[in-house]
Amino acid sequence: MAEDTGKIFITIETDLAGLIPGYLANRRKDIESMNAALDSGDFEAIRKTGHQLKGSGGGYGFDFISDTGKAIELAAKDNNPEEIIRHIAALGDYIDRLEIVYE
Amino acid sequence: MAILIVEDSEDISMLMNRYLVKMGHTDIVLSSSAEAAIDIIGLDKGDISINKDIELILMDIGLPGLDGIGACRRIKSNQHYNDIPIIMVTADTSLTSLENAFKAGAIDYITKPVKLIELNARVGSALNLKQEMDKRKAREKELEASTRQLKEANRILTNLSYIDGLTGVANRRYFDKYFEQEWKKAFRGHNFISVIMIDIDNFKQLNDTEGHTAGDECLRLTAGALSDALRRPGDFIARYGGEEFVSVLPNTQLDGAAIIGETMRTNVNDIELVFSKIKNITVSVGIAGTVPDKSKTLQWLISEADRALYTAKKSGKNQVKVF
Repeated sequence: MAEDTGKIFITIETDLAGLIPGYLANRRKDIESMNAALDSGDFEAIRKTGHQLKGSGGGYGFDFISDTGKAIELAAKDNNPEEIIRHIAALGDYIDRLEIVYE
Repeated sequence: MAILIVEDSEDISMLMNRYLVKMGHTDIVLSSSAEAAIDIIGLDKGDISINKDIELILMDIGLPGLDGIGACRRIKSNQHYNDIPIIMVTADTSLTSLENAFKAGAIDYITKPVKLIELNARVGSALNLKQEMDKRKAREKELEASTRQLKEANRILTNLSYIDGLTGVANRRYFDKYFEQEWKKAFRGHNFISVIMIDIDNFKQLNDTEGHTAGDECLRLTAGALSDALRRPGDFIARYGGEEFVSVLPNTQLDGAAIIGETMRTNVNDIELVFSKIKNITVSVGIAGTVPDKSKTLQWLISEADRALYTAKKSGKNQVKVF
């Protein structure tokens, strides 16, 4: 991962090109659903989403998403809304700044 | 042969699917739950012929409903499916989780996030192992089939070695074996056993005047007529040698043996030799019987029946004599 003028450049195999837009769109939905779960205090739902992020991100080449998912999972287990908010914000920021390079 | 991916996260199953395609696998089936996977392989349908032919299952552990470990256990406990290798795919690599997976029958696990290099290596080795197991099973089946064929061939050979090729009744070899067996049984059970010796009258004359072909046909017809006189399962007829036959009748007193001997005589007498100038054949019959004890031998009983036969011959042939 390299940062340049606010963009985060990630190199992904061309074979996965067709899957990436859908994958990232699903992560935006995760952010929405986690925020909603946070409002209702449903930490179990957040933990599950965090667990799935942890399991999927690195496979596509987004290690940051796996790391953040793991952090969200742990924070949800601890019922720690501040940490969850912080990591959800970091995830949103990451996706906004992503610039994919296919090779 | 397909690879079945059981994964509730569409993002992960799509990724694994893409990787497997990249690895050259074309037949991939996706299932979002263990229940759907069980349905796909036909586990609950009770008919193994309708199942999709799956050569490998990649199973998520943390599935909603029936989890991956429970599904693995169910598949492995079914004898028709337990040779399908299952690789668990999990982000939970705790010792307890992995121990449970292996106990349930998984052969390996892949950690999430799934990486191409790891997926490639583990899927490749699981499929190689499956292919080797399939080959071994096929060889075992071939071996079992060969063993069955060999046993059947041996059984046929054994039967053939006990049958007289010309007449189709038992030969002398089998008679010796059978008579000894029945003699011992009669000895142990203090039962009566009878022996009938039968000789075709004037057979040499038939052979000399009509030729060996006529003689052979006469032997065949006589054997059939003698066999027809025997009704009970234990009764036995064999070609004793030349134109001589012998019958063993376990649990049969002399009066019963005499009736059978007489039936044999009349059966043969009824034969008409259409191919020969000599139209009728007759037999002489000698019968002896005893309850075996230590003072007697089976050879003695044979010689007694032979003596009775000799007496029948001397008395004019075509008759039954009982000793």
